[in-house]
Amino acid sequence: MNCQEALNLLYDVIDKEASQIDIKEVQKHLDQCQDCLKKFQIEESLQAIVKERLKAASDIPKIDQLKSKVLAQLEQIDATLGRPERKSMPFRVPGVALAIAASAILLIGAAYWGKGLYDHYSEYIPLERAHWSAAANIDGFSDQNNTQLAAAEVQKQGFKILDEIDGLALVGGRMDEIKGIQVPHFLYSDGKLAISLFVFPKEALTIADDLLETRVVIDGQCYLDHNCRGCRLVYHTERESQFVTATADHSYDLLNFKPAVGAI
Amino acid sequence: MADQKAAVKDRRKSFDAEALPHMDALYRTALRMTKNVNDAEDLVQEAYVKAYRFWDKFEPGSNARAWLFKIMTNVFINEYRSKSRSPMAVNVDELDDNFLYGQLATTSPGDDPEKQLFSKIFDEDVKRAIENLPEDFRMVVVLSFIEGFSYQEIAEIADLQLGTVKSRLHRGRKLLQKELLDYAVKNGFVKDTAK
Repeated sequence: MNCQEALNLLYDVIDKEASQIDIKEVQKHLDQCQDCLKKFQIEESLQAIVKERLKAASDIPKIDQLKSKVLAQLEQIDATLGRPERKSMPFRVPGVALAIAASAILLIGAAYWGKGLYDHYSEYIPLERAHWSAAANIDGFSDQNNTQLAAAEVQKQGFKILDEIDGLALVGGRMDEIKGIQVPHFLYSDGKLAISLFVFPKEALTIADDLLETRVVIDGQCYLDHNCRGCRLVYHTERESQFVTATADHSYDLLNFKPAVGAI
Repeated sequence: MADQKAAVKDRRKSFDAEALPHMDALYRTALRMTKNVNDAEDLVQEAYVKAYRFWDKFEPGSNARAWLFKIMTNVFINEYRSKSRSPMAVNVDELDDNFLYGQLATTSPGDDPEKQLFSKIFDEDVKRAIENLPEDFRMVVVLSFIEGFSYQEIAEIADLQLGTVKSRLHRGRKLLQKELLDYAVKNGFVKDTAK
């Protein structure tokens, strides 16, 4: 074995992926070649240090909260499993599930997992995620130009963006890509609490069936309240527009935040 | 009905015993992949919900950890990976395989130059360096370095050819080393001899 051949196996050896024969051959070469030996040693200790540092940096302080969230979801699934009327779900019928899931389950599975779950990921998560990223970077909304651009978009739909709603001041706005379209996204805050406001053209946003079960009527206006996991979303329609508000702060009742009132 | 309830209970019990203990590891990797706490928590939750729904497909006695990682990686690729993925900004092939050796040998002659260098780099810097890796490389590096999966396991988890795993890991390492070395040079821990 020459130097190049030995070095080609360097990572295989370090990662313990090399065959016994290769390891022996490499060892033979290193016994006679100081230069390669040094290279192997440097790489080896470097890998060890990086791995060790990386593991230390990746220590998870505690996941109690996450664990309880997961457990709550499992409970929910168990509850649906106990309900006889949900027989159509594939996991209730192992034979069918096997046939369906045998090929590429992970890629196409979503469509079969019960409509509720699928809807959740396609309908709510994009909005939740847009809010989370906004709340994590409030300053990213204070750009005047972006705000004007987003406000102009809303004006086209016949609405004015208010500087203040329920005591929360407008931080600013911008156009965000959500579900494949450009949507005006505004952020309101009182310094602590952050609320997102999205304005969709009505036809651009499909309303998930399960939302209709959570309708609340206040002053003749119907609000659809989606309150789950880390983020609460409230939908309401005004003329040809669909307003969606979002907050991850459960101490505030999002139904008090009424962007369309007074903005017309 | 009673039978059904018992079946649900049994299913849940085996899931709790086999799948839940891996949550730390999944979350750790999710954090490195998504780079933020909210998405990471979401990713882990989605992975567990999917895993539970498909628990009947899991072969008892096989590797539950790798199976869970496969599910999570799949969710990540399909739903979280940035939509507009920028093409590789760094030409890794330009990096000489032995550049680090060359650097260290000339700048800090001594018995363990690499140890001198790394004694000054903090855990946080390594974390940042890994988060700066392009997504495809980051994934295999995390699965290998942090989680200790074998090449073959990574190939199955990320649905890649074995050769692709090896080359991404190799390039990922080089980028990681370069980033850390740049950091060290910038902070004056080692002298820059590249110029």
